[in-house]
Amino acid sequence: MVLDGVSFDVQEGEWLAIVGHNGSGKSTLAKLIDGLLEAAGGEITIEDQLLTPDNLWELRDDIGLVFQNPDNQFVGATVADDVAFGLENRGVERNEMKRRVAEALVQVGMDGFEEREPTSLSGGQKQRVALAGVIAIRPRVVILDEATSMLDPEGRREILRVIRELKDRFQLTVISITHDIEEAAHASRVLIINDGRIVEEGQPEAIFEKEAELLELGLDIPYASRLKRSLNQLGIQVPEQYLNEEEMANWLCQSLLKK
Amino acid sequence: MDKFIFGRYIPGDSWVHRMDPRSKMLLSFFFIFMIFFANNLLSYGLVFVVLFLAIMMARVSVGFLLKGLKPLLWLMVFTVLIQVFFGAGGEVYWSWWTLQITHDGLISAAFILLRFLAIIMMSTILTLTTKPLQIADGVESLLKPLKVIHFPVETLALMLSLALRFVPTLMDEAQKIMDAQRARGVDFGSGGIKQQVKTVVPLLIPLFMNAFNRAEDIATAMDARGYRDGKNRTKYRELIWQRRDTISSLIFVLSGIILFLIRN
Repeated sequence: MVLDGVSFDVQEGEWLAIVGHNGSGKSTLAKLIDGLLEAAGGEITIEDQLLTPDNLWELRDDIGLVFQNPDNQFVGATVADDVAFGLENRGVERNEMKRRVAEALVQVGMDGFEEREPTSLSGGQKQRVALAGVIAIRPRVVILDEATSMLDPEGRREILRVIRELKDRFQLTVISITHDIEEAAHASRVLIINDGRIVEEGQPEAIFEKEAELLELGLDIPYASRLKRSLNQLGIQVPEQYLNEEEMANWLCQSLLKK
Repeated sequence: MDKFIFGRYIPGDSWVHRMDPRSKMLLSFFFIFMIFFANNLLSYGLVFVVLFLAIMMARVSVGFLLKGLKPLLWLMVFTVLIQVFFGAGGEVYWSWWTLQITHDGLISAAFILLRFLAIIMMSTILTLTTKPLQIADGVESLLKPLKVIHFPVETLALMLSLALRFVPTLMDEAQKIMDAQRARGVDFGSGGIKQQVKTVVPLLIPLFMNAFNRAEDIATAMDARGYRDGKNRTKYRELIWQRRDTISSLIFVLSGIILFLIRN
């Protein structure tokens, strides 16, 4: 059994990060929410509607999924074709489709790439096209299934910036599934999943304070926390609570000034 | 492989480039059909006038096209020689054992050479001026009548466009696997036939396995994006039959009629 006794709610407009190491069942969770896999038991409710084989396609219309591998989700022969794919499936009329494709490409900063073919794009650009394809269908929920895990740091930051922007503009609900702790820091709430069970839930600050537990679960801790631990090992007194990079810099400046 | 222009696309913006892929494909078929009806000098002349008109409108240089024929040269020489030595009829110029060179044999050999040239050049013009994607769209559109007999046209079109989209991706992947296996000591392309066939295995198996995984991922992604069965879909790309297509068709049909009038 991949998942067992998992139960949680996602609020409208929330950014929920689901964190876990490889094989912890988090990708299965994403596929269950979108109805791509059928659960052996339990219930999934989306906007007060129970997910069943009958209303699957209807509920899926409101959910956009971005997967991990940029190459394996690029269906179209060109950028514009790929963005239009979801719209074609929904039978959107052609003029409306053209408008929405152009709009979505502007929103992810890929306008001017319409006729380019996937082989001529970088990984980050392909993921932005995938995101544009999701945005074009005007979903209410966006699920990122390790969408940044195959990108370089720059591509990853760029994608996260675009998602944050889109989330604010369209009041999207974002569920990001990741093992990247920096990505989880963007979230308003973090779920930690281990061996198919939810082991921890809370705001990123609260979660990141439990450094020892995170490391034990095979997860990483944020850079500022790593710095804090190293200082602690050198015998320097550091604050207990979680500090992000800016707070950490402030604290360092202050403690140096005191001496 | 760089010299092999047969089947490649060269971007451009000529009259032929901007034609509808459907009309280009239909006209190419029509042209090949015409060639097989040509049977005297005058009719072959007409065929080549049409061909040169097409070359001019596509703004491809004849030299470039001829260079593209090079890889097929041996096939042409072989066929022509067979015609020369085994052709029968008319005055016999030379004969030895079963081989003979006759007047009619020489003429039919010349005609076959011309046919070869015309067919290959016209189909090269088609592929040089039409993106693979447009060809896929054209095939889908032309096959539409088959829906009447419940032929799954949409499914075929999707398969075709996915296959075309993944050709470069799979080529890259094959190259990567080859390099990786080379780094581990596999020596591709040397040794006897048996040895060479054996070295293909460490390339083919990972390639197939990756293709399966890829197919699984793509199917999931398509599902997630709302693809059901290809029916009730709208289309983003649209083929538009323009005036240039009508004009070109008229020219071809007209030359077809003239051909039937002047053939023996």
